[in-house]
Parts: sequence; C-alpha cells; structure tokens
Amino acid sequence: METKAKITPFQFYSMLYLCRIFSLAAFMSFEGEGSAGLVSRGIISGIYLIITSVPTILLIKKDNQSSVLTRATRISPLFGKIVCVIYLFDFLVYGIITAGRFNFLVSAVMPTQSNMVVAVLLLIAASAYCAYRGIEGLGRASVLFLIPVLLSFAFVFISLFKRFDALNFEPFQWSNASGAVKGGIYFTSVTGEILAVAVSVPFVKKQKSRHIIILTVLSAVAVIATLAMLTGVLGNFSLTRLFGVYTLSSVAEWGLAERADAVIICIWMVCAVIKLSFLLFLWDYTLSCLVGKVKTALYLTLGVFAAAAGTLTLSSEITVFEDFLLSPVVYAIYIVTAVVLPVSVLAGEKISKKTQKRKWAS
Amino acid sequence: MFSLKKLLKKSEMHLSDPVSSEADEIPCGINPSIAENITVLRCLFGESFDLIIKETRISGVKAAFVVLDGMYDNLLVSQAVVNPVLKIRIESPDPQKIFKLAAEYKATECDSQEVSDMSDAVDRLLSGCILLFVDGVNKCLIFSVQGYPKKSIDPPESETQEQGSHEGFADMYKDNVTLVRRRLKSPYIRFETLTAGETSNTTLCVCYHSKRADPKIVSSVKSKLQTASLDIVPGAGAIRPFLESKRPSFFTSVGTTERPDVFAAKLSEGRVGIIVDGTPYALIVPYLFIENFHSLDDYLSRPYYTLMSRILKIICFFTAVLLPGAYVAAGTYHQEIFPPDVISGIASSLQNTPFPLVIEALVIHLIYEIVREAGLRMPKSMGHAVSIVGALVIGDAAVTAGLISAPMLIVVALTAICTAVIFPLQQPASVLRLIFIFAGGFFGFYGIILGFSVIVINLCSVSSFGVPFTSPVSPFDVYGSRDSIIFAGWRKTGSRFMQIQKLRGSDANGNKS
Repeated sequence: METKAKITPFQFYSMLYLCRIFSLAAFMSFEGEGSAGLVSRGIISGIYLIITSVPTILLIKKDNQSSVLTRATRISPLFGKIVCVIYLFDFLVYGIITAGRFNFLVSAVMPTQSNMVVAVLLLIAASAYCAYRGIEGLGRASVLFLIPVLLSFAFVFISLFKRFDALNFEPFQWSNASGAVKGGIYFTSVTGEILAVAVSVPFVKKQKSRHIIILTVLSAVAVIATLAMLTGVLGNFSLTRLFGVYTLSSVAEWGLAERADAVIICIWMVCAVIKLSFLLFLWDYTLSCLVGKVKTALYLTLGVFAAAAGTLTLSSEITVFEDFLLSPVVYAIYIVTAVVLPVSVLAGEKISKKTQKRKWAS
Repeated sequence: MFSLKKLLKKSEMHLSDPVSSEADEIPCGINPSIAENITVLRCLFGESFDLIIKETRISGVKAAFVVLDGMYDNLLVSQAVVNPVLKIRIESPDPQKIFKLAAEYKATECDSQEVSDMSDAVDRLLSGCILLFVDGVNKCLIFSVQGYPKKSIDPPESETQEQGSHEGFADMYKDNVTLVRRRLKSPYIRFETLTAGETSNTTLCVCYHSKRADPKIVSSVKSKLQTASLDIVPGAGAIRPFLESKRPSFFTSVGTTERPDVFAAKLSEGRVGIIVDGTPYALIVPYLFIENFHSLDDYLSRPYYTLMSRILKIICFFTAVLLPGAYVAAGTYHQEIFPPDVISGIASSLQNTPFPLVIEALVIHLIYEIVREAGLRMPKSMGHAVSIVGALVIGDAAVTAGLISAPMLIVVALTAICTAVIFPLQQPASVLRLIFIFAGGFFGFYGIILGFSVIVINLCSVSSFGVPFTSPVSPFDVYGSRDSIIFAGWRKTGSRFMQIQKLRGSDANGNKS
C-alpha cells in the first residue's frame, strides 16, 4: 500500500524514544527476574536490543520506502497476509501492555476514588483520537513532548545525584547470571519499538539504518542510566516497590519542589498516550494492508474495542497481568516480529530475485 | 451577481404573470423602453422607499435617473452628473446620440460606464451608483457617485500597541485597501475582489504579493471563497470557517487583525489577506499558532525585551488554560505538591467552604465568564454597576460568607489577567479552562495531562493551507525560528524576508517536515 512520507526521522525516533521511556517509567518490579541485578539486566537488554535490531537495519538498508508488510505481499500475497496478521496481534498485545501499565501506574500513584476502568478507557479513546489525526501530529507532538520528558529525567538525576551510593550495587549485580540474561531479554521484548520501525517505513522520509542504530544505542543508554540510578539510590529497596522508577521520582527533591513526583509522572504519562496512539495508528495501517483501505475510522474503532477488552480482562488483577507479562507470548512475538519475519522477508526477496534472474536467463 | 440574475428573472416572471411564478422567463437585458425598465426596477425593489426614480427629458427625449437614497453623494450627483447631462442639447431628439453624448461626457469627478445587462445595473445601483436610462436605448449609463455615511479611520480597539501606528481598519473595504497600499507601495501587491453571500453580495478583497505568495495558496483561497455557501456575510468571522483547516480544532488557523501595518507585514511574508467589506477586521492565511503570541510592539522593541514579552505570553496562555484545573487537581488529589507552609493556609481556607473544589472552581469561573460577557455587551453607562457587583458582591462578599475560598479567587483573578494578555486565544482558553477543571476534578493531574496531550497532538496535526500550524517550532525551522519565540532583530531579519510557504513541513516546500 502506497503512502506519502510524512515525518522526519528525528520526529519518528523521538516518538519511539518516548515509547521506550514509558516502558521504562512504568517498569514493574516483578517483571523479569527479580533477584537479578537491575543494571546487568539493563546492559543485557541493550545488547539484545542491538542484536535484534540488525534484521530491521538490513531491511531498511535494502529498501527505505516500503514497509515489511508491502514487501512480504510482493513476495507472496499469502505470506503478506500472514505477516499482517502477526503484526496485528503484535500491536494489540503491546497496546494491552501499555494500557495495562497505565492502569496500574495510575492506580498505584493516584489516591483517588475515581474509577480506574474509566481512566483506562479514556486513555484508549484519547489515543484512538490521536491516532486518527495521523502520524504527522504524533511525530510533531513527540518532538515537543521530548523536551519536558528529558528535563524531568534530568531533574530526577540531578536532584538524586548526591544520594547515589556505589555500595547499593552490592551484592554483585551478576550474581544471578541466568536471571540477568532472562530479565534483560524480557526487558527488551516487553517494549518492542524496533518492530514498529519495519512497519512504519513508508511514513518516514529518508530513513537510514544509522537512525535505528542511534535509537537503539540511546535507548540502551537511557535504560542503563535509569536502572543504575535506581539501584545506586534505592538499592535493593527498589525491588520491593511495584514501580521503582516512580519511587525514584518521589524521592527526588529540589528546593521547594519536595514532592514533584505527581508532576513528573504526569509528564511521563504523555509517553503512554504517544505509545498507544502510535500502536493504534500502526494497527489501522496494518489492517488496511490486510483488508483494504476504508475512509471511515472503522479499523481504529475495532482496535479500540480489542485493546479495551484485552486491557480490562488482563489488567483486572495484578496477578493476572503479571502472568500475562511473564508468559512466553511476549518473548515469542518479539523474536518473531523483530527477527524471524524481517529475515524471512529478506530471504524471500533474495529467492524471488534469483528466480526472476533464472527466468530471464532461460 | 449570479443570485441577482436569478432574482431578476424571478421578478420579471412575477411581472409578466403576477399569479403564477412559472411563467416564461424574460431576458435580463435592458429594455429600450424606459417604462419597462422602471417597472422591472419597481417590481424588484417593491415598496422600498429608498429607490428614487426621477423621470426627466434630455433634449426632448425621455430619460430616468435611478439611485438609492442615502447611498450617493448629493453634491457629486448634482454637479457632476445631473446638471451636465441635463444641459445636453441637440437639434433632433435622437436617443442614441443623447446617450452617446452623456457617455462621452468627461466627468472628472466620477467614473462612468455603460452596461447592457439589467443585473449588472442593479448590482451597481446597490453599490451606490446612479443609473441613467434613456428611452429608446437598450443600455444604461452608470456613474460612480457613492457617498454614504461610514466609520472613520480610528485607532484599533483590540490590538492596542505602544509604538505602532494609530490607524486601524475601517468598515469600507476601499478605505482598508488604501491603508494597505499606503504601506506597501509595490506594484506586486494585488487586490482582487469577489462577492460572497447570496443576499448580501458582500465584497471580499483578496490581497497578496504576487511575487512572494504561493500561487497554489492564492488560488485555493479564491476557490474556497467562491464556493463559500453563505446567504449573508455579517462579518469576517462568517468567512473564517471556509478558510480553516477541515480538521476540527479549538484553535483557529485563520489570523485576524484590525491593524493595516500588521496586515501589510503579513502580506510581505507571502500570506494571503482577505478584507471583508463592512468589517474592520481582515483575515490572514496561512496562520501559525505561535503568531497568537506575537504583537507589533515585539518588532519595534529590543530583541531581549521581545523574548521576555513572548515568554510571558506563553506562560500566561498555559496559566489561563491549566492553572484552575491544576489547582483543583492539586487541592483534591495531590496535596503533597504544595510546600508545607502553603498547604496549611490552603487547607484552612478550603475547610470553611461548603462545596467541593471542582464545583467551586466551575461556579466561580462561570460567574467570571458572565461578568466578562456583561462587560462586553452592556451599555457603557452600566459599567460601574457591573464592576461593583462583580468585585465587591461576588468577590469580597462570597469569600466573607465562606462560599468561596480566597485562594480560588486568587486563581480566578490570575487566570482572568492572563487571558487578557493572550487576547487572540481568549475564546479557546475560556472553554479549555472549563474542560481542564473537569479533568482535574475527576482524574487529578492524570486527567489534565491526558487532555493536554490530546490537544497538543490535535494542534500538531493541523495545517493551514499546507503549512503546519505548529511551525516553526515543530517541525523546527531554523530560518523561521528567527521570529518564533525569539525575534532575532531587524539587522538579521530585515533584508531577508520570510516566505511562509517555505517553512519546513509545508506542502509547497515538498512536505519537508
């Protein structure tokens, strides 16, 4: 499906970076292997992210105009449909994870009698509206939002720098190596911005593989720095809190701003809107590739209902959500969509090219 | 014009068959019989007292002057038209010759023109011209003798500036064109007229710099104006929706100004302006969101002061929109955000009020909006009474009676002052403020941030004639940013004029967003 390139790589990667930031801010202590060191998890997560982004880099290096869906359809219409379905499932799962995280984060940090179901539904509805307005709005807004988000992180880091203590890193972070590896892999799998890159290629102008490398490196740096700060300031206490990064923000103080955590968390919440909007936008695009374009917001409405139903079912209880997050589904969909599908598309393209050459030769 | 033709046809139908309106159509041309033409006009205007038809004879030939009362200059009519025409003397009463002589008469005081179409004649009559019919001639002579009471050129009321000109747009579009022409003495400044409104036939003047404005934008503006389906045009605001982005937004993507100097400056940036006859406001497209924080004084002050002034305006905008909602959210759910010394004062004042904070905020803001509306609409003589009622009765007495907390009153006062600073955004700010009070009251800061995100994304997705509304901030444009929040000064911007369509992200610039 042909689309007009609309946003710059900077806008696009700002958006992906905000998506990553939300995953980081709403990171829950039960995710991954709790006993393993956070920093080691962060490092492994970064390495895993860089490794798994290689197929996407190769994909874009070869063609930075067509999405993985279009390319798969070119190889074989049936293969294209299968790829679309997998990506649809993928976006839905990540959408549910995002809305679920929002649900628990808001209910954990906001002492309110307000109905959290309504809050989640509002988030999904607001995100659907933003997705409906198109990727241009999301891209431009991401650049605007990136500034306060980075400033909020800078505020937390600078204000907590004095409390940073290397002793908190004891016992040695690598004490549970297998747990750290599993936790690191999980940490990358549960985010999933890299898979969005392959699908959203046609919406980004002059995208180059170096942009992905910069994104993955910066994401890894952000994750490692935040987790290092979390461990250095809170030590093992961070593992006892459901939202460690939120706890970090609540202890940050500077002058009169003794309890600015509500404001900081709010700034980070913007990332949830961006992430869910982006996922719904991609859902809409993927469904258009699968079924055909419609002028109404039918696909988005379907996405809203699917995401709302999934979120309300899976995040009704924290234990249910925990089971869902720690299930192999998250690992599997990441590896399939970040590695298997791009590699299959690359291989398929190579094979079809060879077949064509043979045809011409004969 | 088109509607007028239809009207004429209808009237002619009525003339030929007063009972049935489905009679055969009569051509719109001017009849050689003066009596027929007068009947058509009388039928068209009905019992209107202002239609003046003076039948006379010129060298023995029947003739008639037709004019609308109050629309013409008495002196000009008598000195430049009636007296000289009536003085025409020829030996044989030849209508064609009389008409030719009248047409060839070199009127220095007014323009004259021949028309052979009745609808054109009526159109000009409605504009204040005088028509001359000569019996036996199927044409009509039109003299431009307009002279009606009009508003003088007064200082602008809503865009008062410290250092700028004291001339504001007047009601008559021709006066406004002159005001702009005086400021842009360039042959490339184009003024093209169109009409809008089936009944009002209001003249719209499309203005642009032919060398700098994007032809696509100019043609798009003209086409949108031509296809605007309106019966009457009560003001420039009626035209605005037809020029706005189709994507709904709280913020308008059409600029408004009553200052000819601002209008001229915008034209020189390649924008297209629309002057609406009868309105002392002109419209400007494309328009950027950041321009809501600009004023003429910014360009006439030192750049560092301009920077401070613009930052203040941006802070005022956020304060006007978010402060009441944030106060409600903080007071209801996030009390920890207040410094310990402040919270005790707020808590004690809140303790004495019977209503929840959100209700208190909504009520006091609605009262403020009522007082503001009253101030805007009421006769000036009642101003003092409303001020006393607003300030003393609602303000002081409500706090003393314990109905409203004092901090809430401070919040409202601050919000009101901040709204006055960002006058172009006053309307969206008033509505958004109430929305954020609701959001903050029911979902705390999270509700506010959710609403805020949606509004920002909405804002970012709007384009004004292909130019991103949030440009040059996002997409960031280095060249355009010299006059966004900062103003780089005349030394840097003076010689290199900006062209709006060349901003990053605009369609004319290859959508280089």
